[in-house]
This record gives sequence, C-alpha cells and structure tokens, in this order.
Amino acid sequence: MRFDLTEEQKLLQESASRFLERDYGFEKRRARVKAGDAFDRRIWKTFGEMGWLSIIVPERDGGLGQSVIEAALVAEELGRGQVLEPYVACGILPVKLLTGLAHSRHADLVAGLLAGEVVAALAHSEPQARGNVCDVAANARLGSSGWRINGRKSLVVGAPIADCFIVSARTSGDRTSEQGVSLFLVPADAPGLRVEGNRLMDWSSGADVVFDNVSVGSDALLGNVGMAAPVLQDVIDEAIVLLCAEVVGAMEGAIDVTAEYIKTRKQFGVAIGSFQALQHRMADMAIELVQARSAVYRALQAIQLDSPRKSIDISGCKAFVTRIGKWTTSQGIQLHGGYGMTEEYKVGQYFKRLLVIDGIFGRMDYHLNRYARAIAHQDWSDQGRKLPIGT
Amino acid sequence: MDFKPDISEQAFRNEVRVFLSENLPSEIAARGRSGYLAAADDQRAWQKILAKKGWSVPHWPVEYGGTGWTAAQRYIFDEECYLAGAPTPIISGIGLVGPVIYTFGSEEQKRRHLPGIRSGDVYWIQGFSEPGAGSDLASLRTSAVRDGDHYIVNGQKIWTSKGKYGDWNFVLVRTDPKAKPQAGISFILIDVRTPGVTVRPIESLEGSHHLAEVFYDNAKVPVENLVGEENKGWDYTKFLLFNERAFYGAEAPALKRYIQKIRRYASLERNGDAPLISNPTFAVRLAEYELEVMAIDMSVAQVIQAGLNERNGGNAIGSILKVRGTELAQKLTDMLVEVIGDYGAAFFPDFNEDAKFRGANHIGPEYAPGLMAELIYRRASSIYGGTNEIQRSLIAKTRFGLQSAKS
Repeated sequence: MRFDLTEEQKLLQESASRFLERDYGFEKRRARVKAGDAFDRRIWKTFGEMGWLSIIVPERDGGLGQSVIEAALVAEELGRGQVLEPYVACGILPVKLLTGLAHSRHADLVAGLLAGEVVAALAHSEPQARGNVCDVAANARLGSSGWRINGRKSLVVGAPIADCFIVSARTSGDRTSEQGVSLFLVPADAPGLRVEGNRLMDWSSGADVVFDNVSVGSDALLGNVGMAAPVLQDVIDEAIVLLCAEVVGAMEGAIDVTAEYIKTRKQFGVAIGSFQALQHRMADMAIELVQARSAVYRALQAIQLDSPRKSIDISGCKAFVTRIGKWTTSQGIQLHGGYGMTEEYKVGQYFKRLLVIDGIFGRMDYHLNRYARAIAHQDWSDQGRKLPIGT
Repeated sequence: MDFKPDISEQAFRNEVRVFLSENLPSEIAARGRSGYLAAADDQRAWQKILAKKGWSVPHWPVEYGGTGWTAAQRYIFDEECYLAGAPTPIISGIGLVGPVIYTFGSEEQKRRHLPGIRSGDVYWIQGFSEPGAGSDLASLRTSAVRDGDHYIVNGQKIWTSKGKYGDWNFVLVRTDPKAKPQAGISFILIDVRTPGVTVRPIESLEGSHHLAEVFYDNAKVPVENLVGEENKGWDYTKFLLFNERAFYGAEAPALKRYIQKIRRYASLERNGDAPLISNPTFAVRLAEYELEVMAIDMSVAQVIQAGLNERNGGNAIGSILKVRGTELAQKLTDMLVEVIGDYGAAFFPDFNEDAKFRGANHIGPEYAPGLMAELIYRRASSIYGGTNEIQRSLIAKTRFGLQSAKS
C-alpha cells in the first residue's frame, strides 16, 4: 500500500480545487440556488473537458482509463466545494453502466455523456426498496413493437434536468427476486414519462419519475434481459464509495470553516475558540474526519482488490461515514450558533448535503442491517463466495 | 412516594380533551401536527378560540386572566393541546413579555397591552440577541438615548422569531453606556410601525423565513414604553429567561409525539415485504430512544409536582432537561426522516408559512412534508435559549461549584 498521491493524481486534485475557486465561490452558488438554477450545463461541459466524466472509462471506449481512486479524489474536492451538479449520480454512474453494458450500440450517446453535452439519470429506486436494488415493482412488458414500461421511481437524482433515463424494471419474477430485473434506456421526452417534484433538500436536482405506459423500441434494453441486478449493484457500490468520498470533502470543508469562525467570533471579550468545550468538540470532529477518510480508503481497497465482501464492506462504509458525517457537519452548525442555521453561511450547506447523501442508495437502517447479516454469515466471504444481492 | 395517578387530574385531562375535540379546527390541527413551525395565522386564530373560553393565558395570575390551575393542570393542558395538534402558543407574548408587564409594568402598560396578548390580536416579537451579543447577551449595544419625552433607539437585533409577523417588539437597549454591562440595560416596548424600525427576514437552512433581523434607525419611542425602571432591564430579563427555560426546556410532549409518529409511520412504510418497524436494527434504536423519552417525561412530572426550580434548589434541573431534551429531539427528528426513506431527501415547501401550498399535491406519503424541515430546525434548539455548551457549564457550576479557570 502507498498513501501519497502520484504526480498525475496531484494534478487531478489541483485541477479540481482550481476549478472550484474560479467557478464555484459561495456567493455565486448562493445566487444560483436563489434563482432555482440547480444544474448549469456549461459547468457540466467543463466537467467533460476536464476529463472528470471519463476518468473510469477504459481508453478503448474514449475514456482516461483510470480507476475509482482518481474519481474519488475528484468527488472529495467537489464535496468540499459544495458543487450542485450531481457528479456521481449523473456523471460516473450512467457512464459506467452504458459503457459496461452496451457501448457499441450507443457509442454516440456515450460520447455525448463523456463530453458533458448530454445528461443521463439513473431511475432505479422505488419507495419500498430502501436500498435493495432487486426490489423492483416497476415492470416492462415486451409487445410486438417493443417494450412498455409502467411504474414509479423515487429519488431520481437529476431527473428534472436529464435528457435520458436508465430505468430498472421487472421483466420476470417476484418483486424482490434477483432474477428478472432489466435496464432500459428511455429518452426524457418519451410520451407517458412524467417527472414529479423538482429539487432535493440541498438545492440539488432530484425528483420522482413516473412511467405511464411508456413505449420504447426493443433496442432500448441494455444488457441481457432479466440479468441487470448484479450489474446495477456493482455500479451502485462504486457510486456509494464516491459519495462517501464526497462526504469526506464536506466534513473537511465544514471543519475548516468552523475552525476559522471560532477563531474570529468573540463573546465574553474573547474568541470563542478559547473555550475548552469548543476546542474539544473541534478535536472530536477532527477524529471523525480521520475515521471517515480511512473508511473510504478501506472501501476503495475492496473495489481495487475485487474482494468477495466488497458489496457488504461498502454498505458498512455508507452506514458509518454518513453517520459521522452528519454528526460532524451538524456540530459545525452548533459551533457557529445562530449563524450556522442560515443560508448565508457555508457550514449549513455541508450538513444539508449530508442529509441528502444519507438518503441516496439506501439509508443507514438498510446498510447496517445488511452488514450485520453478513457478520452472521462470515463463512460466506471466507470461502470467497459472494453474498446474494439484496440481502 | 406514591405513583398512583391523581383522579382529579385525570378528570381535568378529559375536560381538556373534550374541549379540544369540539373547538380545535381540524385543518389547523393537521398543520399543527406537521413538522413545520406553527403558522402565525393559525396561532392567532387558536389564541382567539382559547381566549373566548378564558384559557389563553392559564399560567397568568387570575386577576390578569389566568385560570388558577395548578402547575400539574397547566402542564396537562399544554400537553393535550400539543398532542391534539394545536398550534404552539405565541410564546413571546403570553410566556415572555406578558409576565414581565404584569410583574414590572405600569398600570397603564397593563391596561394597554395585556388584553391584546391574551386575545392574540397583537403579535409580540422579541428583540434580545444582536450580531455581537449572542451567548454573551449582556454585551448588547443597541442604544436608547433620552430626548425629552422620547428615547431615540439605534442599533440592530437578530434571531427574532416570527419577526415578519410582529406588531410589537420588546427590546433590550443600553441606556447607560458607562455602567457595567448588566447595569446599563433597559427593557422597552416598541411599536414595530414606528418610523426607523425595519424588519428583515432571514432565510433559514430549512427554507423558511421565520427568523428576522430588526434594525432601529433613530426610532422615536415614547418614554412611557419603558418597563419598570431605567437600567433595571437585566433583572427583568433574568426573570423572563427563567420562565422560558422552566416551561419549555425539555419539550417532553414533543418528544412523545416524535415517538408516536415514528411508530406509526414505520408501521406504514414498507421495507421490502415487511413494515419498516420490523427491521431489528431500526426497532432497537427506537427502543433506546423511547426509554430516554419515558425517563425525561417522568423527570418533568417530578419537576411539576414538586414545583422544583432553580430558585428553590432545583439544582440546574432546567438546564439538565434542556440539554437532554434537545439532544433527543435531534435524534428523533433524524429518525423520522429516515423512516420515509427516499422521500426524506426531497424538498417540500412549508405550507404553514406559505398558505398557497396548503392542500397542494406532493410526492411521497401524506406525512412526508415537514419532517426534514423539522430535523433541520431542531439543530437550532441546542443553540437558542442558551447553547447546550453554556447549559453544561451551568450544570457543572450549579451542581458542583466548578468554575472555569480564569484566562
């Protein structure tokens, strides 16, 4: 193992922080959210130009051929910079799915996604699923002219701004069975497709997508029919780790602005940072940050080594990192006092981002329970077998 | 010691319940049960209904419109109102400035202001904190300079709850800049329509505008609006802050309602094929929180029965209940958001603050709006009314005589 960044990785990280300084000042961001502008297509194109959307795509498919580690470096910077555009959910995730499943058939679309000219969103979750990618009630039926899709998808990040959707729907089997989940590519303007809701609590874009007899051609199917659950789980696992990397950036950002604040804010004639109660809180926040970063490293390691426990370890990572991330950013608000509760200060935006990340791809109850059940079946991973998906 | 419930208290509880079922409008109750802060129009409407019954200021002395109830009865009343979904009372009026006026105010002030507070016709707002004076309230700088039969007020207040609805403002001002910080403060009543007074709402994290800054630019305030004596305002404030902490610190009814809501919603929400509540990871956490809430509820009962307070040896019980109560409120509102799964990440507009969203369609279960707003809003409860850090220092000092080292 080595923990220092390569020259290339350093350059990548620096390019991200330079971009944030130049294009993502807090006042600019605040003006944008006030105007209801959660997604700036010019900025998304910049992501494309910087290569951030193609980091993990193999070079033969037009990408940079790097790993999830490089993507995590970018995600962490974007978390610190409070970037509204959903880099992980609308950038990395759809690109990874499309290149993995059907690159040759959708080469133009993939090129558009990598360049940041086209935006895709993943519509996989449903209200009862709570993180289980196999729990799919939306269905797709094959008719003479193609597929007909019905159902409701919840918490679709980027839904209001997406040009197309990758949607999971059941083509056979019981509602929760691993077999029978398929993925389809659906244009946003398909008749019968409806977006309900418009934004998430942290100002970013997200909503429900309702499919009401939406017809697509037989070529809309991505990958093999009924076999999408393992692919989906794999891609979502990586996305979870990247969101956790974003959390680390958010935690560090919250800690930095809070440290600065308590050094300058005066009460009782002294800087409030001179009070031991506050110093100890800052110390606890710093401890959680170290833990969070290392938990993300562990999850990245599981991906790199393709461990049989990978998916379970990533569930553990999400439960752990979001819990301590929520606590750390909430204490940033606490130490800011009333100012922390306003839209005018940066610290609260970190907390709200945590609240949203907590909700994406399943919450703590799902992931902790999944991890706990894997403890009871430790022999599974000891034998190098993968746990069934959805457990 | 005897833990049998009091039969007369039970009868009183039933009387309150009957009154609520007959008089609390169901739309107001539905909004009151949501996680959003009470709507100002609902607060006024409910205050009027209570006033008609003679129940709008139960804790005041009978001569000023109080009910003469025991502390236990008052608590039962507050709890039943809360659990039924009644809007929270206009606390700044009936809980804060009202008692200051009838205790320290002139006969003219009582005659002029108490009726409007009782009836809900006049919405009072508080002007205490300043940008530079939060936890260290005594360092406040808003000044009032005597000029004939007026004070000229200049300065700025912040964190004024419900500022944009305010009719009258009770304000701490510095009248003697040379005295020690606590000694030069006066308590003054200001009509918000006075020229030179400007209210600017603050945008809160959860999306509402219930807080405000209030600016005073050469506002002319008649001398007769001074409460009590000049430069004695700090004493009145201590009296008022004590009322605030003793009555509202633990918020046990709110905690109990959170537990009820979690149980109900988690029985309705599906976790795959089973209700969420049957997820053991979830249920164990709820069990731990419920045990805490049941204990705090018993502490509150004890405080009320014993008439315990800081003045008669309560040993920092107000601070103790405030710290633990707010911590629990934060954990429980967090869990409530977790219950609604994917919909816990969505933004829902505040229909209590903005009437145009009342009855509007939204995604997710009918109980989804307001849960996230309340989670975020609850972060403030460990800040306002004395931060939990300040409360812990108070506990250490009061219980054990421990003092911070002088730096």
